[in-house]
Amino acid sequence: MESSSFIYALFSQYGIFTIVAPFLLVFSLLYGSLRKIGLFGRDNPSKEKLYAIISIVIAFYYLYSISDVIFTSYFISFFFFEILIIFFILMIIALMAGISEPYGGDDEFQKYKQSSHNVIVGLLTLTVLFAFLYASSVDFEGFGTAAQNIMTEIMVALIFSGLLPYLIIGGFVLAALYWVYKKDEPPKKKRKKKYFFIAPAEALYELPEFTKSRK
Amino acid sequence: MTDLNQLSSQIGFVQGNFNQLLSQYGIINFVLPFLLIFSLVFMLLELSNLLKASPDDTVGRKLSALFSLGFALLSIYNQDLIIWLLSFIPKATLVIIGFSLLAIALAFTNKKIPGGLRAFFAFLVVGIILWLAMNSLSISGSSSSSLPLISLLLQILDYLMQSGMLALLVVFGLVFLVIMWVVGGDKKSGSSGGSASSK
Repeated sequence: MESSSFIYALFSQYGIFTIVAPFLLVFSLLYGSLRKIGLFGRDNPSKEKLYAIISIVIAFYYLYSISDVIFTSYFISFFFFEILIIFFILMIIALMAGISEPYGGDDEFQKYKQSSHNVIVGLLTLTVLFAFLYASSVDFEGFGTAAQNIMTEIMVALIFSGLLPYLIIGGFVLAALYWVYKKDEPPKKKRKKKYFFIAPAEALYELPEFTKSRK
Repeated sequence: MTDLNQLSSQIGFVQGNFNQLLSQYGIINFVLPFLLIFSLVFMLLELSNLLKASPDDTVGRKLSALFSLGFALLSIYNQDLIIWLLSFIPKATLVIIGFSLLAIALAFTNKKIPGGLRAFFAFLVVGIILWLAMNSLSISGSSSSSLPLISLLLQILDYLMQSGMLALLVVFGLVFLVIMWVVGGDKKSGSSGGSASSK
């Protein structure tokens, strides 16, 4: 690790990690987003220059707060690790899809598969939350501590103001009222329990197919 | 026996030299993670067209490259990531090799894996990879980073137990469950009775 620390120290010394990299990240993101959404109209002749100026100014404001830059570093590094995990899972799943045959279910199975797909999409969005939690939990002075304090303060306020038990009991009462007053539904068909197992797996197998078919 | 020992010591020596050589020029700790992060992020940006105004937008493509460059450099700034990658990738590659061997072995049978077993394999893959990822996170000691959250949860639990609120909530929940069970049971028997009478 010592020889690698040389490159790391060199880059740190010249501000590659704390100035150049975050600037590139924020500038390209803002400039690209502004170009894409076309906030100042499509026919404005000086729009590109305006986008560039706005992006540069905001990027420099961002660089002014070093704690936010370090927070971003933790945030995106953990996010990348999660992306890598998903990448490996999809790679093996795609490999397995080639040597297995898909489960041919009925319409009910397709509904289960669609629901499973939605759940997987929801879980994928949680990766950002996990990365945020990791970055917030890392011990340093700055945004992480502030974010951590916000979560702690909310929970502590809920506990010590006595709101938490009321919220839980209120939830029970609302659930009971909904249950009492809900309309009678026609009797449901008997659910096939094996679909709960097979449908999420089939939804997983479909993910690499979706990415493959995208242009 | 001595030949085997000599061979293993030779392998260890060569491996050590190779790793040292890779580390010496920052290949393992800088170049490889940079290339991996850059290429994956760039690929994902190209896939999502996030920074492109149109699919053939060359400026958007350059911006994606710049974003990936910044992303890769800023990620490497967190040295924990390098340790996670060094721990996770070799083992995950081993899993890929294992499943590839399975595919090769199945080539003899000229049959494909049926639906149920295919689902089992999917969950197996997800389980193994997540387990490896958790292991590599705990090796670098970053699992201790979740301590504030755990301590917060413990604090809440402690408060609920000390104040007697937990017992109250449990009793309340149990009463609610019993009521639901009793009333739900009547409804079921009523519906079955209805169907019986209709017959």
